[in-house]
Amino acid sequence: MSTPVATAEPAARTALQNDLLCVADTKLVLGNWFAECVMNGKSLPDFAAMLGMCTASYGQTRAIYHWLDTLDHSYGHLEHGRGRAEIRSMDLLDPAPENWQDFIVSTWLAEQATWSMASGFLRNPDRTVAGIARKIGEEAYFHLKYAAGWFRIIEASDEEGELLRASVTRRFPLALRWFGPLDAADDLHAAGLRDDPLPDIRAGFVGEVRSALKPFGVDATGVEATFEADWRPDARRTGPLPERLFEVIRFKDQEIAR
Amino acid sequence: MNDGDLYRDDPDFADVECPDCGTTDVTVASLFGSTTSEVLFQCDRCRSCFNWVKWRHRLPPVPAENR
Repeated sequence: MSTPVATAEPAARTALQNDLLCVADTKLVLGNWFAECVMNGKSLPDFAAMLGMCTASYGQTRAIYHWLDTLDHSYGHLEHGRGRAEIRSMDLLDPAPENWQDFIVSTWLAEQATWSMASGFLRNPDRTVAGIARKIGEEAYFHLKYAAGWFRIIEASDEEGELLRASVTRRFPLALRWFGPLDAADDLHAAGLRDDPLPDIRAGFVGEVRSALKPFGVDATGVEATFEADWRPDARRTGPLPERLFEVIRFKDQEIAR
Repeated sequence: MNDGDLYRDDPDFADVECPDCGTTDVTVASLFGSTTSEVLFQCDRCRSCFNWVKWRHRLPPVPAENR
Protein backbone atom coordinates (compact mmCIF):
# COMPACT_ATOMS: atom_id res chain seq x y z
CA MET A 1 0.00 0.00 0.00
CA SER A 2 1.48 3.35 -0.95
CA THR A 3 1.61 6.13 1.63
CA PRO A 4 1.85 9.91 1.15
CA VAL A 5 5.57 9.67 1.87
CA ALA A 6 6.16 6.77 -0.51
CA THR A 7 4.67 8.79 -3.34
CA ALA A 8 6.31 12.11 -2.41
CA GLU A 9 8.95 13.78 -4.56
CA PRO A 10 12.28 11.89 -4.14
CA ALA A 11 14.05 14.89 -2.54
CA ALA A 12 11.29 15.41 0.04
CA ARG A 13 11.02 11.68 0.72
CA THR A 14 14.76 11.52 1.36
CA ALA A 15 14.73 14.67 3.51
CA LEU A 16 11.98 13.25 5.73
CA GLN A 17 13.86 10.00 6.20
CA ASN A 18 17.04 11.93 6.97
CA ASP A 19 15.41 14.01 9.69
CA LEU A 20 13.72 11.01 11.29
CA LEU A 21 16.99 9.06 11.21
CA CYS A 22 18.66 12.00 12.98
CA VAL A 23 16.00 11.79 15.72
CA ALA A 24 16.33 7.98 15.91
CA ASP A 25 20.13 7.98 16.13
CA THR A 26 20.13 10.77 18.71
CA LYS A 27 17.71 8.68 20.79
CA LEU A 28 20.05 5.69 20.35
CA VAL A 29 22.97 7.64 21.80
CA LEU A 30 20.75 9.24 24.45
CA GLY A 31 19.53 5.80 25.53
CA ASN A 32 23.15 4.72 25.88
CA TRP A 33 23.90 7.82 27.97
CA PHE A 34 21.17 6.76 30.41
CA ALA A 35 22.45 3.16 30.46
CA GLU A 36 26.09 4.15 30.96
CA CYS A 37 25.37 6.74 33.64
CA VAL A 38 22.75 4.84 35.63
CA MET A 39 25.14 3.99 38.46
CA ASN A 40 25.74 7.71 38.95
CA GLY A 41 22.11 8.16 40.01
CA LYS A 42 21.68 9.77 43.41
CA SER A 43 18.82 7.61 44.64
CA LEU A 44 16.61 4.65 43.75
CA PRO A 45 14.12 6.87 41.84
CA ASP A 46 17.04 8.07 39.70
CA PHE A 47 17.96 4.48 38.82
CA ALA A 48 14.34 3.71 37.90
CA ALA A 49 14.06 6.93 35.89
CA MET A 50 17.30 6.46 33.97
CA LEU A 51 16.57 2.84 33.10
CA GLY A 52 13.02 3.79 32.12
CA MET A 53 14.21 6.65 29.92
CA CYS A 54 16.86 4.33 28.44
CA THR A 55 14.32 1.74 27.29
CA ALA A 56 11.89 4.44 26.09
CA SER A 57 14.67 6.00 24.01
CA TYR A 58 15.64 2.65 22.45
CA GLY A 59 11.96 2.01 21.72
CA GLN A 60 11.64 5.30 19.87
CA THR A 61 14.81 4.53 17.91
CA ARG A 62 13.55 1.12 16.86
CA ALA A 63 10.07 2.40 15.96
CA ILE A 64 11.66 4.87 13.55
CA TYR A 65 14.07 2.23 12.16
CA HIS A 66 11.08 -0.03 11.46
CA TRP A 67 9.31 2.79 9.62
CA LEU A 68 12.45 3.59 7.61
CA ASP A 69 12.65 -0.11 6.70
CA THR A 70 9.36 0.30 4.82
CA LEU A 71 11.02 2.92 2.61
CA ASP A 72 14.66 3.21 1.56
CA HIS A 73 16.52 1.63 4.49
CA SER A 74 17.07 -1.83 5.91
CA TYR A 75 16.31 -2.38 9.62
CA GLY A 76 19.22 -4.80 9.99
CA HIS A 77 21.66 -2.37 8.44
CA LEU A 78 20.37 0.54 10.53
CA GLU A 79 20.62 -1.34 13.80
CA HIS A 80 23.86 -3.27 13.43
CA GLY A 81 25.33 -2.71 10.00
CA ARG A 82 26.62 0.83 10.15
CA GLY A 83 30.02 2.32 10.87
CA ARG A 84 30.58 5.38 13.02
CA ALA A 85 30.55 7.72 10.01
CA GLU A 86 26.96 6.65 9.28
CA ILE A 87 25.47 7.34 12.72
CA ARG A 88 23.53 10.61 12.68
CA SER A 89 23.27 11.56 16.34
CA MET A 90 23.33 15.11 17.66
CA ASP A 91 26.93 16.10 18.38
CA LEU A 92 25.71 17.67 21.63
CA LEU A 93 25.98 14.12 22.98
CA ASP A 94 29.51 13.45 21.66
CA PRO A 95 31.42 14.60 24.77
CA ALA A 96 30.72 12.51 27.88
CA PRO A 97 29.09 14.31 30.83
CA GLU A 98 31.60 16.07 33.10
CA ASN A 99 29.42 15.97 36.21
CA TRP A 100 25.83 15.31 37.32
CA GLN A 101 24.64 18.82 36.42
CA ASP A 102 26.16 18.44 32.94
CA PHE A 103 24.39 15.09 32.60
CA ILE A 104 21.01 16.63 33.49
CA VAL A 105 21.50 19.63 31.15
CA SER A 106 22.75 17.49 28.24
CA THR A 107 19.99 14.89 28.40
CA TRP A 108 17.36 17.61 28.89
CA LEU A 109 18.61 19.60 25.87
CA ALA A 110 18.66 16.42 23.77
CA GLU A 111 15.10 15.51 24.87
CA GLN A 112 13.83 19.04 24.25
CA ALA A 113 15.50 19.30 20.84
CA THR A 114 14.35 15.89 19.62
CA TRP A 115 10.80 16.54 20.86
CA SER A 116 10.86 19.91 19.07
CA MET A 117 11.88 18.20 15.84
CA ALA A 118 9.32 15.39 16.31
CA SER A 119 6.56 17.91 17.06
CA GLY A 120 6.87 19.09 13.47
CA PHE A 121 5.47 15.72 12.35
CA LEU A 122 2.40 15.52 14.61
CA ARG A 123 0.09 16.23 11.67
CA ASN A 124 2.16 14.36 9.10
CA PRO A 125 0.07 12.85 6.28
CA ASP A 126 1.74 9.50 7.01
CA ARG A 127 -0.20 8.21 10.05
CA THR A 128 2.71 6.10 11.26
CA VAL A 129 5.02 9.11 11.33
CA ALA A 130 2.38 11.18 13.14
CA GLY A 131 1.85 8.34 15.63
CA ILE A 132 5.56 7.97 16.34
CA ALA A 133 5.85 11.75 16.84
CA ARG A 134 2.96 11.68 19.32
CA LYS A 135 4.43 8.75 21.24
CA ILE A 136 7.80 10.51 21.46
CA GLY A 137 5.96 13.50 22.91
CA GLU A 138 4.03 11.44 25.46
CA GLU A 139 7.24 9.89 26.71
CA ALA A 140 9.23 13.13 26.55
CA TYR A 141 6.54 14.71 28.75
CA PHE A 142 7.77 12.66 31.72
CA HIS A 143 11.44 12.76 30.74
CA LEU A 144 11.26 16.57 30.78
CA LYS A 145 9.36 16.49 34.07
CA TYR A 146 12.21 14.44 35.56
CA ALA A 147 14.77 17.05 34.42
CA ALA A 148 12.56 19.86 35.75
CA GLY A 149 12.59 18.17 39.15
CA TRP A 150 16.38 18.07 39.11
CA PHE A 151 16.53 21.73 38.05
CA ARG A 152 14.64 22.60 41.25
CA ILE A 153 17.21 20.71 43.31
CA ILE A 154 20.17 22.27 41.48
CA GLU A 155 18.62 25.74 41.83
CA ALA A 156 18.85 25.45 45.62
CA SER A 157 22.66 25.30 45.55
CA ASP A 158 24.90 28.13 44.29
CA GLU A 159 27.71 25.71 43.52
CA GLU A 160 25.48 23.33 41.56
CA GLY A 161 23.86 26.26 39.77
CA GLU A 162 27.28 27.38 38.59
CA LEU A 163 28.01 23.92 37.19
CA LEU A 164 24.66 23.99 35.38
CA ARG A 165 25.41 27.39 33.84
CA ALA A 166 28.83 26.16 32.66
CA SER A 167 27.17 23.14 31.07
CA VAL A 168 24.58 25.29 29.27
CA THR A 169 27.36 27.51 27.90
CA ARG A 170 29.08 24.44 26.42
CA ARG A 171 26.08 22.45 25.24
CA PHE A 172 23.36 24.90 24.17
CA PRO A 173 25.17 26.09 20.99
CA LEU A 174 25.53 22.42 19.98
CA ALA A 175 21.80 21.86 20.46
CA LEU A 176 21.07 24.91 18.32
CA ARG A 177 23.42 23.66 15.62
CA TRP A 178 21.29 20.53 15.29
CA PHE A 179 18.52 22.65 13.73
CA GLY A 180 20.90 23.77 10.96
CA PRO A 181 21.77 27.22 9.60
CA LEU A 182 19.10 29.86 10.19
CA ASP A 183 18.92 30.81 6.52
CA ALA A 184 18.52 27.24 5.19
CA ALA A 185 15.33 26.62 3.22
CA ASP A 186 12.91 24.10 4.69
CA ASP A 187 12.04 21.97 1.68
CA LEU A 188 10.25 19.47 3.88
CA HIS A 189 7.74 22.07 5.03
CA ALA A 190 7.36 23.32 1.47
CA ALA A 191 6.52 19.74 0.41
CA GLY A 192 3.82 19.48 3.09
CA LEU A 193 5.75 16.90 5.10
CA ARG A 194 6.60 19.13 8.09
CA ASP A 195 3.79 20.94 9.91
CA ASP A 196 5.69 24.16 10.63
CA PRO A 197 8.79 25.73 9.06
CA LEU A 198 11.95 24.59 10.84
CA PRO A 199 12.96 28.18 11.80
CA ASP A 200 9.67 28.44 13.75
CA ILE A 201 10.35 25.12 15.50
CA ARG A 202 13.89 26.25 16.32
CA ALA A 203 12.57 29.56 17.70
CA GLY A 204 10.08 27.65 19.83
CA PHE A 205 12.87 25.41 21.12
CA VAL A 206 14.91 28.48 22.11
CA GLY A 207 11.85 29.88 23.88
CA GLU A 208 11.40 26.67 25.90
CA VAL A 209 15.08 26.64 26.87
CA ARG A 210 15.04 30.31 27.88
CA SER A 211 11.95 29.81 30.00
CA ALA A 212 13.37 26.77 31.82
CA LEU A 213 16.71 28.44 32.49
CA LYS A 214 15.32 31.76 33.70
CA PRO A 215 15.62 30.82 37.41
CA PHE A 216 19.35 30.30 36.87
CA GLY A 217 19.89 33.76 35.40
CA VAL A 218 20.91 32.27 32.07
CA ASP A 219 20.10 34.49 29.12
CA ALA A 220 20.07 32.26 26.08
CA THR A 221 19.32 35.22 23.80
CA GLY A 222 21.92 35.86 21.15
CA VAL A 223 23.57 32.44 21.41
CA GLU A 224 24.42 31.30 17.90
CA ALA A 225 25.54 28.01 16.43
CA THR A 226 28.71 27.79 14.38
CA PHE A 227 29.12 25.43 11.45
CA GLU A 228 32.47 23.81 10.69
CA ALA A 229 33.61 22.77 7.22
CA ASP A 230 32.69 19.15 7.93
CA TRP A 231 29.09 19.98 8.95
CA ARG A 232 26.82 17.34 7.42
CA PRO A 233 23.32 18.75 6.81
CA ASP A 234 21.79 15.33 6.08
CA ALA A 235 23.12 14.00 9.42
CA ARG A 236 22.66 17.25 11.37
CA ARG A 237 26.10 16.74 12.88
CA THR A 238 29.77 17.57 12.36
CA GLY A 239 32.06 14.77 11.20
CA PRO A 240 31.76 11.10 12.23
CA LEU A 241 30.77 9.82 15.66
CA PRO A 242 33.84 9.74 17.97
CA GLU A 243 35.44 6.30 18.01
CA ARG A 244 35.06 5.73 21.76
CA LEU A 245 31.39 6.70 21.73
CA PHE A 246 30.73 4.43 18.76
CA GLU A 247 32.30 1.55 20.69
CA VAL A 248 29.71 2.16 23.44
CA ILE A 249 26.64 2.45 21.24
CA ARG A 250 27.28 -0.16 18.54
CA PHE A 251 25.80 -3.64 18.70
CA LYS A 252 28.55 -5.86 20.06
CA ASP A 253 27.41 -9.25 18.79
CA GLN A 254 25.24 -9.57 15.72
CA GLU A 255 24.57 -13.23 16.37
CA ILE A 256 23.10 -12.50 19.79
CA ALA A 257 21.14 -9.56 18.39
CA ARG A 258 19.26 -11.92 16.10
CA MET B 1 14.48 16.99 48.60
CA ASN B 2 12.92 13.72 47.38
CA ASP B 3 10.49 12.97 44.56
CA GLY B 4 7.55 13.44 46.93
CA ASP B 5 8.53 17.04 47.64
CA LEU B 6 9.41 17.78 44.02
CA TYR B 7 6.06 16.73 42.61
CA ARG B 8 3.76 17.47 45.58
CA ASP B 9 1.81 20.26 43.81
CA ASP B 10 2.10 18.86 40.31
CA PRO B 11 -1.31 19.31 38.62
CA ASP B 12 -0.79 16.08 36.67
CA PHE B 13 -1.13 14.15 39.93
CA ALA B 14 -3.84 16.21 41.64
CA ASP B 15 -6.59 13.61 41.12
CA VAL B 16 -4.59 10.47 41.85
CA GLU B 17 -6.41 8.39 44.49
CA CYS B 18 -5.14 5.59 46.70
CA PRO B 19 -6.77 2.40 45.38
CA ASP B 20 -6.98 1.02 48.94
CA CYS B 21 -8.45 3.86 51.00
CA GLY B 22 -9.52 6.36 48.31
CA THR B 23 -7.71 9.42 49.61
CA THR B 24 -5.96 11.84 47.28
CA ASP B 25 -3.35 12.47 49.98
CA VAL B 26 -0.71 10.57 48.06
CA THR B 27 2.95 11.21 47.41
CA VAL B 28 5.11 10.45 44.39
CA ALA B 29 7.69 7.91 45.55
CA SER B 30 9.31 7.61 42.12
CA LEU B 31 8.44 9.32 38.84
CA PHE B 32 9.28 6.05 37.07
CA GLY B 33 7.71 3.03 38.77
CA SER B 34 8.04 -0.71 38.31
CA THR B 35 7.55 -0.14 34.58
CA THR B 36 8.39 2.93 32.50
CA SER B 37 4.71 3.63 31.96
CA GLU B 38 3.91 3.92 35.68
CA VAL B 39 4.53 6.36 38.52
CA LEU B 40 5.09 4.83 41.97
CA PHE B 41 2.97 6.47 44.70
CA GLN B 42 2.70 6.01 48.44
CA CYS B 43 -0.52 6.79 50.26
CA ASP B 44 -0.03 9.35 53.06
CA ARG B 45 -2.96 7.86 55.03
CA CYS B 46 -2.79 4.05 54.83
CA ARG B 47 0.90 3.97 53.70
CA SER B 48 0.26 1.44 50.92
CA CYS B 49 2.28 1.78 47.71
CA PHE B 50 0.69 1.61 44.29
CA ASN B 51 1.54 2.17 40.64
CA TRP B 52 -0.36 4.65 38.51
CA VAL B 53 -0.35 4.49 34.70
CA LYS B 54 1.04 7.80 33.52
CA TRP B 55 -0.01 8.14 29.90
CA ARG B 56 -2.88 10.63 29.58
CA HIS B 57 -2.02 11.62 26.00
CA ARG B 58 -0.39 14.76 27.32
CA LEU B 59 2.39 16.30 25.27
CA PRO B 60 5.03 18.87 26.19
CA PRO B 61 4.35 22.35 24.75
CA VAL B 62 4.64 22.24 20.96
CA PRO B 63 7.53 24.65 20.39
CA ALA B 64 6.35 26.15 17.09
CA GLU B 65 3.01 27.06 18.68
CA ASN B 66 4.61 28.75 21.71
CA ARG B 67 7.39 30.76 20.16
